[in-house]
Amino acid sequence: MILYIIKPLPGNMNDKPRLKEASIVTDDNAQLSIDFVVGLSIFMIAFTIVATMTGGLLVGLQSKTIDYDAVAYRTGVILSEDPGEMNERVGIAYIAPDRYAWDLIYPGYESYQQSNIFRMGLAMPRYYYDVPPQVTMEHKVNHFFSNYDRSLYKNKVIFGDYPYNFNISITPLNGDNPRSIGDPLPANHQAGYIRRVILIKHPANVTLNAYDEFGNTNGEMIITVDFYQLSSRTPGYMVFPSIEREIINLTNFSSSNTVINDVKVCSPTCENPEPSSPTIWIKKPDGSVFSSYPIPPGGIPVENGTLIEIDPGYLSKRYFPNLGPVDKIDLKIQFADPDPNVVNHLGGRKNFSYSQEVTHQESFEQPDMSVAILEIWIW
Amino acid sequence: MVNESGILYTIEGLSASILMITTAYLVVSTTMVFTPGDSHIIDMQLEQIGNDALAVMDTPVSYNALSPLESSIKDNDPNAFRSRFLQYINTVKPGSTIGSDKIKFFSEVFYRKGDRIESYPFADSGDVYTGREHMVKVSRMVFIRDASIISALGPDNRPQSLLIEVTLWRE
Repeated sequence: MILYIIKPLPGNMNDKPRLKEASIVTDDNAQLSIDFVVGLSIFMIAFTIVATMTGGLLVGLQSKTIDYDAVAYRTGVILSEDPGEMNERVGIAYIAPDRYAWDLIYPGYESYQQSNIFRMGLAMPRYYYDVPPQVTMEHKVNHFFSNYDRSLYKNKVIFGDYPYNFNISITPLNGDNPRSIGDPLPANHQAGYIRRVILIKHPANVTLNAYDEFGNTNGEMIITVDFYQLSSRTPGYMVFPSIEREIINLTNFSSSNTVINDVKVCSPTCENPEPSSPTIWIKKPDGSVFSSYPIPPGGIPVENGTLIEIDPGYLSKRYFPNLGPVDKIDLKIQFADPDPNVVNHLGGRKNFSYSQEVTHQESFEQPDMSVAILEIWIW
Repeated sequence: MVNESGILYTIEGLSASILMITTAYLVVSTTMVFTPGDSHIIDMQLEQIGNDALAVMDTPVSYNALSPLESSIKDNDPNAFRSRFLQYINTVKPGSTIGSDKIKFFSEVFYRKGDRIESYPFADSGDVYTGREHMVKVSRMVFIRDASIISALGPDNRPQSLLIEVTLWRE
């Protein structure tokens, strides 16, 4: 650069000042023009400001690490406080007993599962205002931990586009086996974590006396499941016949030759139970399980402690299309025995209800709700 | 004519404008970049487990029974409360690396007497500290139908709502 400075030459004071050529190398004044200095400093400040702002451009782009705890918390809420939701009707077909029964999709409609479940949750549905908090249902817990399907669970429980890894564990405090699903826990990743305390509501059972002292029963036991009567307790302690398992415990058989010949379900017309789940099962104390239709020839031998179990989701609209909230369903069990005296005193009219004839050794039992710890890891 | 007179005025104007813009930028720009160390919301997890444990303890496990929380307060049984509460908040999956969690607690019950609010200490996990860093307080209103036993500690002998306040911290 060549700069021109005005410098009086030594010597002649009367001479006019003259321009002297000076270059940046040889000139020793060390001054830049003020224009240049100001312009450069404004540019540098502006450039520095923009450079420091580029760090903020990347916030929000790969922020998955701050999400882990939030996703774990959300999953914990969905599992412990939400009953889940699905479309229970597709076209005119009922594919599940009700919109919260995502685990009870009827057989034959499994292909609708992926597209018709909105969320999976374990909690009891809030049909009523005073459902206790954090109460989950045993059939939902069992189904959730036994039918693990990674892509379905990712879409219906975890949510989000980012491919999170997850592990969900349940540890019951009453001694039952702990279970877990998902990917194995990482040794060195930082994982988002939440722990929840939940209650599990267990199915109720009724113990019935198979001996009828009045006689004239002809070996027929009729067990009435009255939906209206069963709705008389507060919701946390109520039996929901359409979506919970019902267990009937038969005792007091006087003869060891008694068999069950026939099982029918009437509402009010009588028909045979389904040949496969959901249906009615007959379970012996030694662990053997018999289906109630078709009955093997010769009948099913019974003894004290034989259980009749109604699967969750069986007593519902698909199998009993006229079912309404004040209806009842009768379970007719036909016993047979070589001794006609025994047959006459076998059976009777019974109720699956909260109050039983305690004098006849009949009782209704609902196991206490049990506490479990639910843990969720997301990474 | 272009010369350098007036440069100082220009510079004054320019520097004033730069100063104002820089101040405005510093005030307005609040970009926080999260580091992985901030990714655990420790207090929220502790508060959640404490609230859950109190809610589950306040639910009767069978029809027409008293909830464990109500019966341990009504019978003034801090040992029953302590063992149940510690089991609920510290149990983790068996086989996990931490064995069991190390949350400690201290609790107090508040009651209304006339127009005063008073309290008595209830259960604690054995330590006499009232809290450490990252301590949270969770509370629950409990309705006590029969206050005859606890009336010796201060509350009136009438059905009333009490507040149980639990302070939790991780050792």
